[in-house]
Amino acid sequence: MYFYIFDPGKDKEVRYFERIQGRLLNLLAENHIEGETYRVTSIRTVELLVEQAIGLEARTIIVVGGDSTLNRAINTLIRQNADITVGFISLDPGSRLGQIFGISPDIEQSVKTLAGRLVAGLDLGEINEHYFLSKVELGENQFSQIEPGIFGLSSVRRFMKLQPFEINLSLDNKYKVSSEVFGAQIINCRNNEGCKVKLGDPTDKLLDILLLSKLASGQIIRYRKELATGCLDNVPGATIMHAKKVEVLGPRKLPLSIEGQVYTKAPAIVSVAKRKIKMIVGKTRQF
Amino acid sequence: MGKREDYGDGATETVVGASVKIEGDLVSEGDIRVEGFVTGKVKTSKNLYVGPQARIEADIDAGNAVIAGNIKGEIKIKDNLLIQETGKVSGNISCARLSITEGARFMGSCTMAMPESGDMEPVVDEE
Repeated sequence: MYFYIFDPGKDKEVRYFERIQGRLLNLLAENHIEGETYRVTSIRTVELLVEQAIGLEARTIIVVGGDSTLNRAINTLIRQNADITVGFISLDPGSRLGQIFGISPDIEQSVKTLAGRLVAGLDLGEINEHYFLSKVELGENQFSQIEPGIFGLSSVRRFMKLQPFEINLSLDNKYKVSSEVFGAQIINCRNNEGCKVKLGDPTDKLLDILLLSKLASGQIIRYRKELATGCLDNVPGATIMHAKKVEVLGPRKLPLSIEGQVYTKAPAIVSVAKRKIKMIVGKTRQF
Repeated sequence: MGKREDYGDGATETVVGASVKIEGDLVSEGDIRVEGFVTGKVKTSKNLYVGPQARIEADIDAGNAVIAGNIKGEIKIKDNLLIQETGKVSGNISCARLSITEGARFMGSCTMAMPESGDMEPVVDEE
């Protein structure tokens, strides 16, 4: 049984969702993947709907919404230890997870992807009993939260204000890493478009650690595009390491964030979760 | 939207940047590139590159290696070892093939596996 969770989001997304809702339902029926549909409200949260799907013994949950809706649904599934396949229809044309998993922002294409039912077991990162698909950013310098603006000019002003910071990590209890960095990320998967190095394969049971060393003003201007797109590895001098478990030893109270939201502070452990999530992916996936 | 083929070749390379200091056993299944400072041990079955600014105080075990930086420790290389003109090695080396560029510095002993006589191809006179 397919269990659909519709989370139209706010304002602009709601209007878009209401415009495409009828067409979406028709496409689902045409592709023989229709099922029960539920819309998220302030009292009927994503978490409650996922629990409802588990209770109804749904075989597949399809999240129709943004990346944050997908993350919330996956967290509930893992915590409930449920063996349910997850599908995703993105209502956000800029969805990072959609791009990584090869799910087109075009409704017709994404329904075809769901109907194709190409299922991949994906690793999840774990931080303080919170599970994530994408990446953790360390410190206040969160590149994923900075909009590039026209020609990247507004981002340059933001980047200039960022301060480098000391970081101490322990990887797989084998070696310790210390450095002064401008940015630090622990990646489970990421959108590799525009990046020179393929990082964040969610099927390799590893996290990729990316450290960006201190930059001079000239370098910030020169590499503003790379910084704004999150391809920190395109900037010369970047450090790339791989581990199953990363202990962020310090500095104390260094924030660890996912998509701009702080989940914990150092000292903390980020690791590959023992459980995988079964996800319907597209042929154009990046792994 | 990019396809998988558009992005490199799997790239499990480990890169230690110039500002990074590592203490402990740096073990990787892929290539390792060191531009910073490492103490402890460096191990990979693949390729190791040590940049001109790098400083390693560690025992090294690798498939192939190119050394342009400063190394203090035992070096065990399965196949090719190249010490470039900026390279400085202090320690014993063991490898199958060794190249040292003019200007490089090496202090220590070197052990190389000799090909067994049976493995050598006989010389045949051509008429």
